[in-house]
Amino acid sequence: MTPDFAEAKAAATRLLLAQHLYSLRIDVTKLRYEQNIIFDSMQHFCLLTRTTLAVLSDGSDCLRDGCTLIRRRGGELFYIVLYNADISSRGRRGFTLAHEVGHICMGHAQDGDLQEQEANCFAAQLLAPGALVGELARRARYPIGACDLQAVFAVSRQAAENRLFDLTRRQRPTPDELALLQRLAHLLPDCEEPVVNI
Amino acid sequence: MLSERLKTIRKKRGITQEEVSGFLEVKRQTYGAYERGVSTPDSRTLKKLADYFGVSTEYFFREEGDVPAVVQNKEEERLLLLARRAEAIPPSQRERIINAFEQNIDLYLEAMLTPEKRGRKKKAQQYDA
Repeated sequence: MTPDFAEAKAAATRLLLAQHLYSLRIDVTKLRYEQNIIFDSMQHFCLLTRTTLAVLSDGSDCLRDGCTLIRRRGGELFYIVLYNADISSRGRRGFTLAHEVGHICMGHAQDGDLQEQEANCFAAQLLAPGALVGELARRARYPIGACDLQAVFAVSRQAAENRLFDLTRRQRPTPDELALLQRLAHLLPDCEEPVVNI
Repeated sequence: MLSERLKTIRKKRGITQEEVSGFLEVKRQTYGAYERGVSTPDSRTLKKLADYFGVSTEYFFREEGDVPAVVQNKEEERLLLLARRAEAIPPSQRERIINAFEQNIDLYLEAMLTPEKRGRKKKAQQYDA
């Protein structure tokens, strides 16, 4: 099987369309979800359960960024998204959380390469929707850079650079993306001047 | 494998192809083609099928007798862990990590879902800050 990037983007767009957004700086923990999702730090998990990260990770680094636990309890499914509070970069943490939400929204039951790629695609679209990035580039009277995306969407440098690269091979926006653009375009800056002066 | 699994679980549940295709809002022939292996459902359809039958999407790609990841039986109580690079570590170590979470997850949920859970969640944010 190959990653279904179209569905990953569509799922992220649908999630955004289900929100009442007043800012393009998406806080993944504040969105409304159909599923029961608990966002917490691994450190707080350890505090509540009187355990340590070293015990949970068994000495490996597989929990370094974060993880998602799926537990059925009392007939309900609970998704617990744990992130590493030691990661001080808000952009990086935001991407990690969006990535984990991607796994949940895509119904992943394992975390292989295929699911990783889909979750990354989902996160990129959730935090900086392609149609809005395209519109930002169209409005700007200069070639936009990663710093502009960082300023407008509050994403990490790496995520911004990846998004700019995506822009070069952009496909036709879907009807949902156009609807999202119509709803959120007023939140974009006019960009007559560079968003960020370097 | 997918086609066989679809056919098997549908028959086990005593559901007709018409009922499944009706749920998917596709023609019966389209769904029939999935069961014959002539065509493959896309991931969105696969997710709908998994939800419909109450299994995980991974179920469709496992051999008969393998333990499915999330199914509507005793195995559904098994904790599922999704973590970056978790696929790269040895299965025995992965099992130990899942067991460590298994031992603590109910205690954690108990703490988070009690009446003062809002306070807990707020504390979580404060702890983080």
